Amino acid sequence: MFVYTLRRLILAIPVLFAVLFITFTLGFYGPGDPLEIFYNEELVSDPEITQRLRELHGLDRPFWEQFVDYFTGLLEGDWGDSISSGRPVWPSFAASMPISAQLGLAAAVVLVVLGIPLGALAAVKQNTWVDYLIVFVSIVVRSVPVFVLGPMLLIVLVLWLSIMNVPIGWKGIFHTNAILPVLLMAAGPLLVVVRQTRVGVIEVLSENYIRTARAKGMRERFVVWRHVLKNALTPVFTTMGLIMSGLVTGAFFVELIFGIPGFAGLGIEAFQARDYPVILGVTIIGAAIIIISNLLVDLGYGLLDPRIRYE
Amino acid sequence: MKHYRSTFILSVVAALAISLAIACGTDEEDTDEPAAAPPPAPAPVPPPPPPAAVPTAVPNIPEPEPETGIVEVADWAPPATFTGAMESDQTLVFPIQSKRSAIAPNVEGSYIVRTVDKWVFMPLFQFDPEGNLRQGVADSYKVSDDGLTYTVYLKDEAIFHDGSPVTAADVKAAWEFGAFPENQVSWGGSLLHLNKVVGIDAISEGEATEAPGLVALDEKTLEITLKDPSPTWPLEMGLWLLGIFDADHAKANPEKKWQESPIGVGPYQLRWEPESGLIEVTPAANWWGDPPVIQKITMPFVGDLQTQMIMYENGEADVIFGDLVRQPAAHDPDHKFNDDLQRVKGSGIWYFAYDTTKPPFDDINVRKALSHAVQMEAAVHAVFAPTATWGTGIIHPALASHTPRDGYGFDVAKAKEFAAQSKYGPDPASWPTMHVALSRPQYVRLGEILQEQWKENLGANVTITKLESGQQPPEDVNLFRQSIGGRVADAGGVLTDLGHSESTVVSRGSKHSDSALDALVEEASQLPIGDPEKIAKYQEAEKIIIDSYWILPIIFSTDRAYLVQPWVKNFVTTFGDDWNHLPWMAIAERKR
Amino acid sequence: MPEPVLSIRALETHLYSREGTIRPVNGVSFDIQQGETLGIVGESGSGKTMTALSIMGLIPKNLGGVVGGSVLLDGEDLAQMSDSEVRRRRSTKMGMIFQDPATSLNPTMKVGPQIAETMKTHLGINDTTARNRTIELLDRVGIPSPEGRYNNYPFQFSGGMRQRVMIAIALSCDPLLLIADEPTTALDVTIQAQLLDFVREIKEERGMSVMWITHDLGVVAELCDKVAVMYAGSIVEKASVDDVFARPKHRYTSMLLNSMPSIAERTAGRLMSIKGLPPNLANLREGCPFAVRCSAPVDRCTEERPTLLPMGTEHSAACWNPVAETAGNGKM
Repeated sequence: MFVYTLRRLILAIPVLFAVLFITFTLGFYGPGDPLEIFYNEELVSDPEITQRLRELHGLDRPFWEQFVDYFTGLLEGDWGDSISSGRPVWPSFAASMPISAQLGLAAAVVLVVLGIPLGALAAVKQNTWVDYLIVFVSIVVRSVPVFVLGPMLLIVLVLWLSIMNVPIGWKGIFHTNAILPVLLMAAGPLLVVVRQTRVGVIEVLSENYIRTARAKGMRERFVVWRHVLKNALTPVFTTMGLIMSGLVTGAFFVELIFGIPGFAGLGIEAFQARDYPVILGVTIIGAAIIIISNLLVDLGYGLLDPRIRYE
Repeated sequence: MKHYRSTFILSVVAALAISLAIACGTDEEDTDEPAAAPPPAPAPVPPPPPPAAVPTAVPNIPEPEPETGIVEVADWAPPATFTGAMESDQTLVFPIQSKRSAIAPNVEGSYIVRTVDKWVFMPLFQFDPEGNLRQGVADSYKVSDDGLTYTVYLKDEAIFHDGSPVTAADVKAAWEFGAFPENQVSWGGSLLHLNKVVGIDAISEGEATEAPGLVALDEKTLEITLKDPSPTWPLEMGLWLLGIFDADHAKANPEKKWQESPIGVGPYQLRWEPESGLIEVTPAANWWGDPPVIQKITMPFVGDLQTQMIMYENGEADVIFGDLVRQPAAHDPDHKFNDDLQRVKGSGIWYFAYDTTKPPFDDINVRKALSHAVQMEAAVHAVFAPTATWGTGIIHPALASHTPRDGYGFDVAKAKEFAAQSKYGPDPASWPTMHVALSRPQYVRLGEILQEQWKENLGANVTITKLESGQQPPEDVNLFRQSIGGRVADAGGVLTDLGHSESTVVSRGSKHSDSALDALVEEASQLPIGDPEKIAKYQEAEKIIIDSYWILPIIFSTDRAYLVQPWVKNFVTTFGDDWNHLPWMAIAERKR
Repeated sequence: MPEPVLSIRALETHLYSREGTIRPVNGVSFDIQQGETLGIVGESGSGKTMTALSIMGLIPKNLGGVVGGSVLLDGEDLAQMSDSEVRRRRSTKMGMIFQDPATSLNPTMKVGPQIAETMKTHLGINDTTARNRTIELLDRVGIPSPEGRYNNYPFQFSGGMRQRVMIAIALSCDPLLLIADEPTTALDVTIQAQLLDFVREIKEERGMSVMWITHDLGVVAELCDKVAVMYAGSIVEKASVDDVFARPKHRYTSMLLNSMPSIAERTAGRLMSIKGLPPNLANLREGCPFAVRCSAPVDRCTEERPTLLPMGTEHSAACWNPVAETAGNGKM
């Protein structure tokens, strides 16, 4: 397992390099210019100043020179300076990543403690009103985009019911302000988890070993928790990619709606501003997160299913 | 910058200035765009200016004393103090839609910080809501007979936020610092004005660190030498872009660290958290005037406009941006917050520009045909709001030189007549490609309406490319959607930008060339502000532009606005979006 | 005669499907005495497994369930009990092993705990005791080095070993009755033989009753004391193993015997098949459900459904035209 993990991590290096190279290339040859970005169709930047700034940021140099320069900087731990603010990029990463990570983890916990039991319940009560209700609600929650659901919830909770103020800003994951953002982030992928759990549980419930467990006289709750869930979670696990992308999409809107200074928002701002150093950093870190979470998922399979062994 | 080195620019652009310089993107987000800049300031004695009615603005530069030649600039006349029941916590919440990338007066293009800029980084002079020059860090100045040398006298009591006196050398250092290549922004920032000063060019090009045109004669006397005479220079000294901060502190905290708690001048100081986007403005400990009433202005980052509106409706936000693009619903007269709208005086215009160097727009008959074949007023009202001000001409209704017009009339028969005379043939369907690239949803919608009408009324096919944010338009675009705004109450900037062959805006838009018009605009810009001859020349220039069919006006940019809760007292805003009476603003009991 | 361990009377089970109500168990009655092995034979779909599941209370609620009759186990009527009362009697009074040992064990759980949890559930013993007893059981069912095997997963066991593990589970709480639903079908012949020997051995050792479901009459001959033949959800013949093999009364039983290789060799030297298909249980006609396939139907067969009629000592059959006595020892 150690060797396997090590090998996977080593394999990640060329992948990360490819991501870096492709992103860099797209940024270099793609449309948009960080120095003219705010003007859209108006285009009123001053050509002389723009040229000067381009030289200052080294944007006028040949592709390979810029790439090598960025890459060697990266190897030395220098993530570069933002073009739009002129400030070093890393501090903003260091400040925003923990926030997004906490939000993401909290949302994942919500998905697990809410999605899996709901999915299991729907499966156990298959084709009863409980099942229909759970599936219906999660489809509704899923089909309403976060950027609609968020304001809707705010209107209901803040304006109609007047039970809270708009939870603006980041005050830590344990602050009440985090409740709504976390729930909203979890809202998107919730259906995936519920549905996969439901399908998985229904499938497992018809397995012979569940009949065996029942024939043994195990309590039904015990049957579900001990014999069904672990086996049913493998399909849920395979949708990890979907869930992750759901969390990321959720993060973007949630960070926007609630003014949370997170990593997703940082990335979006950078993309809009064509702020290459930030874009590159966000992309590389994002890719690394995905690679690591994929590795964790694969290792997780091993825990869920003893038949899978990594050598 | 070459154009701008010519005399014309010096005088005109600058001068008029202030007017509208390139503020492109009046409709932009809170992102950097320069726009109109007015002055803050408490009006003199007379009672607080009513926020609503926008008088036609004529900037007023005081007359010099006959014997000394020194111009004494009037001090602020504070508005009446609010005396009703006040909230004990005088904290004003103003959510902002995007995070700032920089906090520095010389590059401040957003409407966000500009609201408070002149009370945090006070310039030498300021404007009151009527556009009159008021004291800032300086109280008087003298101009040489050749109009090239200005001697500015700083107030003895003027101090930085750290308590040290503001000296002439400090002003020089702050301006020079803003011109350093690494401190510039691509749209120009303070260079748009400081470029008139001898020696600033060399700094901005990285060839010098000091400008010989800025000399500290003594602690409190600054001598400014211009390259060319510029009647609007006193007004420009009142722009937020030329606001003053402690350049030594800035140099001592590199990598823009200084911007997180800059040492400025004025009743308020500012703290910025770049990561969270939060901006907090609090009374400065060191300030020579009366302490301000509001104890804190907090600007949390709230990226979602609907969330801003919910906060506003819930009374959590005291002020939010309420312009047509951001909160269109509030512009409906029946909307419950319609009465809360505080409109910003505008001077700009949004328009389409035909590229007169490319087929088929090099043929005036094509331009005429298109211009008369659309019902622009109805389209504007449908897309923006029934209350949006259709751009009937070029000079904004808030400006003295405005002439009431009817726009290009909608007349299909006439349009077809023009089309029939086109050198590209009588059938518009066979004309060369007409292509416009649009990005903001409103413009895309507007473009589609016009496209439909051109098709319907003329049979002309206009292609629309939808641009993603930041995407460059395709090469073959020959119809442009542009906008220009102004920083001061004078039509010169708009006319220069739209009309003068050498302006950057023309070079990116209609690309026309008319030496008579150039001369007219240049002459007008040299005339004193308020001179009837100047106004007449402006109106003549406007007529030439309209009759040439280079552009198709859409809307006057009057529609920038704030939504201000009724409990926020003494709120006044004008051309630059700034809060003119900030130090006298107060928060009354928060109830409607 | 002592009270039977299991006594089933008029058991009726319905399943609900789109085509309507299916009656896979349609008035089944039989007894199993202590230490006795009852073989239930019949074609696929004749209701053997459903009868077993009905006894165990393992028919999923959403599919159907017992709608009538009684299931007296050790004197208590399971049909009248709540779910949890029935549940508590599984393992302790009745254990069950299934057809497919490959899928009957939880693949993601170690084998030892799957046995141990049964005892922990019912016997209230602690982990250590359960573990020790499990190892003893594994040893008893013939798993070599049981201590090491305790922590193995099912995929590390062969088919026969898995079935032994299943038996260990079923026996763990010392039930009165073992229900075996074709447990040897999926195993190869030698393993099958070993397993049968083992079951016989353990049954005698514990004095346990066994209900052995199979379609293999050879197994019946080897293992069972009595036989019940099922057809279309009903028992059509009940008798001792000897009687059934020597004097089948029902035409179906006799045809079943003729389709068996060893018996066929002895009798006609030719293997018989039963023509036609089992009837649709959702739509049973009047009369004998076997009538259409029967080799010797009489008029009454299509008009009236036959009930079990005594045909000898503890021998009964539901047939209007039973097979005539061939060896001449038919005591009515």
